Amino acid sequence: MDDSNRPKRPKMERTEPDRSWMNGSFGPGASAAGSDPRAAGYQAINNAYRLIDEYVRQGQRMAENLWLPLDGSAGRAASAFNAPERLMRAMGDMTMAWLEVMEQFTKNAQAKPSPVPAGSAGPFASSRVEPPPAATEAPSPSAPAKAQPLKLSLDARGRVEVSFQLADAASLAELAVTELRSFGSDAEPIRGVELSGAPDEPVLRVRVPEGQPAGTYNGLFLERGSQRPCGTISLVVH
Amino acid sequence: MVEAKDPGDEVQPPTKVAVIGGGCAGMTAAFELTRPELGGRYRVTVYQMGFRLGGKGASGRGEHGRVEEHGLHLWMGYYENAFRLMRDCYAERLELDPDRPALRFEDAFSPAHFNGAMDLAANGEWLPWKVDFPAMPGLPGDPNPPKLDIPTYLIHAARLLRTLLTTLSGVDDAKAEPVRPRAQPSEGELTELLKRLTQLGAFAGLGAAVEATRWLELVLGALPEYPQSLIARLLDAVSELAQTELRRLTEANHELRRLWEIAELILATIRGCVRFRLVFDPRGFDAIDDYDCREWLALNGASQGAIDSAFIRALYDLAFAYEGGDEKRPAIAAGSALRGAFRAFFSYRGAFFWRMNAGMGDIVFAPLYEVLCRRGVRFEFFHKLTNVGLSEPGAASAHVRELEFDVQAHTLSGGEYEPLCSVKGLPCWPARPLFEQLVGGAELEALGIDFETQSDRRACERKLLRVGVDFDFAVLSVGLGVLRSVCGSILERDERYRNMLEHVKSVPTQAFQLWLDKDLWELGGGSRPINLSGYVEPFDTLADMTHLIPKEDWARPPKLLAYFCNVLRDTADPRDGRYDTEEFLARERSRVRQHCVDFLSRDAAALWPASRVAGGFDWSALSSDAKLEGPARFSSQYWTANVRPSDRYSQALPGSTRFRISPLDQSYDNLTLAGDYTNCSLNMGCVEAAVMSGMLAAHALSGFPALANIVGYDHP
Repeated sequence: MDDSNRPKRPKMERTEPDRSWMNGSFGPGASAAGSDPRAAGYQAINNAYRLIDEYVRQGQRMAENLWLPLDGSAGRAASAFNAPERLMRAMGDMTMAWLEVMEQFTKNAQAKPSPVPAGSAGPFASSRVEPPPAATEAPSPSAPAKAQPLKLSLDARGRVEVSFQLADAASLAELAVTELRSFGSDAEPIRGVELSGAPDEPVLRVRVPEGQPAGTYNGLFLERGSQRPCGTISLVVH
Repeated sequence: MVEAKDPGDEVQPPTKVAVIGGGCAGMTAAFELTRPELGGRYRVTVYQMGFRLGGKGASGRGEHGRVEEHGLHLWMGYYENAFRLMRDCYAERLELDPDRPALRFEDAFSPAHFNGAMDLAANGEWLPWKVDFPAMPGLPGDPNPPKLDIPTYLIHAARLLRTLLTTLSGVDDAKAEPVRPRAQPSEGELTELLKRLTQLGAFAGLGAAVEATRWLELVLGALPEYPQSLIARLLDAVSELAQTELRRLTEANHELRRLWEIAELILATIRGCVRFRLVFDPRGFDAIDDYDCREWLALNGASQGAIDSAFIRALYDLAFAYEGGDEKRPAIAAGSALRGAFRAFFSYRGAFFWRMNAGMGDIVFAPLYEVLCRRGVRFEFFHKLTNVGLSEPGAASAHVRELEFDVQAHTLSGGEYEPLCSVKGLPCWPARPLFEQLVGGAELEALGIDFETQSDRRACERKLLRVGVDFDFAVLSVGLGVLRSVCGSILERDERYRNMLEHVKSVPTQAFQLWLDKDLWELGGGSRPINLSGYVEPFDTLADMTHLIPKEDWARPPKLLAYFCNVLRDTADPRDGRYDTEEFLARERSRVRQHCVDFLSRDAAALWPASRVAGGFDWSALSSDAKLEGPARFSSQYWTANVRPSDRYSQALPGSTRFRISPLDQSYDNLTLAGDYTNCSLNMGCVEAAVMSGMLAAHALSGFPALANIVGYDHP
């Protein structure tokens, strides 16, 4: 048979799975963090990771600890489940809040990510220095999905970026906000963070002291009574 | 008058496709290529060694219509493509012949919600850990499959974590005394405490831990007041002390220990997914496939206890994840394992597991065979592939030029072999060839030829198929273990194929089935049929299959049917020609029989306490027509050593994923591979992976089905 007439397989458009989850990730419009969308994305995720990791570690230690019958009595031993249960539930909530931040962040994204260099997904890759994001104006915070809108009042001399995320069900009237800390750094926390204003028009006020060292500062929204985390706030000082 | 003919009106002759191997992948490819939507563009012939379809999923009906399987086959609720295939197949069979009493899809599969793992307590006692998996909305194969992405999985994981712990919160904690506030310790006091704890070390005991706990709570309540390094040291010291006590507590409370282990695993998984940036890595979970799953979990904070837990052992057991069949070498690629586990736990529909309501051959391959026959697919049974011949090295386009077969038997009629038998009206595969249809059938039966092994080359004809004459395209859907013996010229020329055979491994498995005259209650095994994994060697996995007894053909039905399976330690090197010989097969079969007898004598009592009698297992409980006593009575049961090349299970060992070749690979312009050992994205040894691979093979030849319609192909 003439080989040229022999049926041949059609050419494939692609021969590999397209595993890029977002099919478009961090577009310039999706992140005000800089011109390299991947860098901004990774930085945001890393920041979030460091925050959750810190809380998870502390929670684990605390849970393990509280499992002990504190005064040695049988009654306390019988209720040994409850303290860790509460703590672990809080950790679970915290994790979900964080994941929802991540999901929201990536959902809004637009551009396709550039390929990750081979080997960069290892545990040691996190030490690689990400390029700093380019200076831009502070982005407007995204509004919580169901709760009343939260306004931002920002008092800062230098360039900063603020982003936050709240669980859908969070009621702003019931919330407190923690100070913002930069994990792994000796920088003073940013303590000028508060929720104020009328119940139907809450305002998140953030005051960044002059001379605050550059870095990423993270904090939590907490439910006043239970102290359960129900949102995160992240601030980058350039 | 002769009208001018428009060349565009010419009807193209159909493309001839040879599908070699009628397992899940090959049958899927045949099914997809002959869908009515393709308008008969492909004329498919399936070439099958021996007398039955099914590959590793083949089953046969033996004495009393007994279902005899290769092993234990449970379908998971996330097998979206496999269920879609079967639902389409059943619908078409019903449509083609509505008057025929046929098994409907709804009758073919049943949900199996009740599952568990055998858990080894610190005192050496085996305890069944039983879980009712909740029924989830929908059915596998329905439109709109669940969302499959890593953030969604992680959110599910976090919710599961909370659910696990909420399950335990039945105790009223209102009486729990709060820690008494006291004066805030100074940095100096904390330093002194640490010094004291360090000096006491492991002897500090509960008192010191309690004291440290009180301090820790105060410190955690005022984190900013203290240097982080000091807090970290305090946390570590308390953690070390607490761990000792925690260990003591969890030793006494199995439920607490199990839940803590799972909580740890979930946390480690969440942290690892983020730490390894899997969400954004274009390789998805493949990015961590060079790690073993347990190793990766440990890297991300899981303790040794969690890694050795019943839960993890059960996952390894279900995936036959023991290199070389050696229980001391657990190994599975972390990414593939996580992908499978996430899909299994968080994307199943209907039930976590689904049981087939007859043999896998009867439920899957008989309907596929019948529907494909109706579509005009030809089946050439007793055709054993012996060589794939390539084009000359200098050819313009590398392709398969010829296919060589041993024809193992001819039919008396000269037509196609009709492979099915009927058991209670259900079309089934027999456990042995229907010799009465074969030329010299009686002689063949007397010779005892094993038609399903590669090494037995007795044949009545050598057949050569030529490209362009007998076939245009070839779907090579034989087992991984068979490739080495039939692809010599490809292996000689193509380094990637050599690498695949070197790195993508398969493992032999072993299985047995027991029919018993005592029911579960009488044996002390509870009252609900269950699937269990994570038990001892040599058989770590079992399932109650009593629901099949009415589908068999017993004059005096047994009361209980149980399947057992596991890996089998490899005693042969596939590169060694001595494996797959008659002698080797007999030896392995004898070895498995001994494993079965040992297992029942020694280990069955943990599952069925009342099966223990003085001297070991109550052999009289085995259903048998023969008057056999003691261990000899086991001969009446069914067991198998799956050591033949086509029977070996495809593993997903760490570091092997990159060596898998995709069915979409375009190295040869008329050849595609299909099987669960290929790079089909799921990359596990399972029905779903085989079906996905078959769909990809069909896509490679025809562009159909669209890749977007293969559920999970683009899964991270």
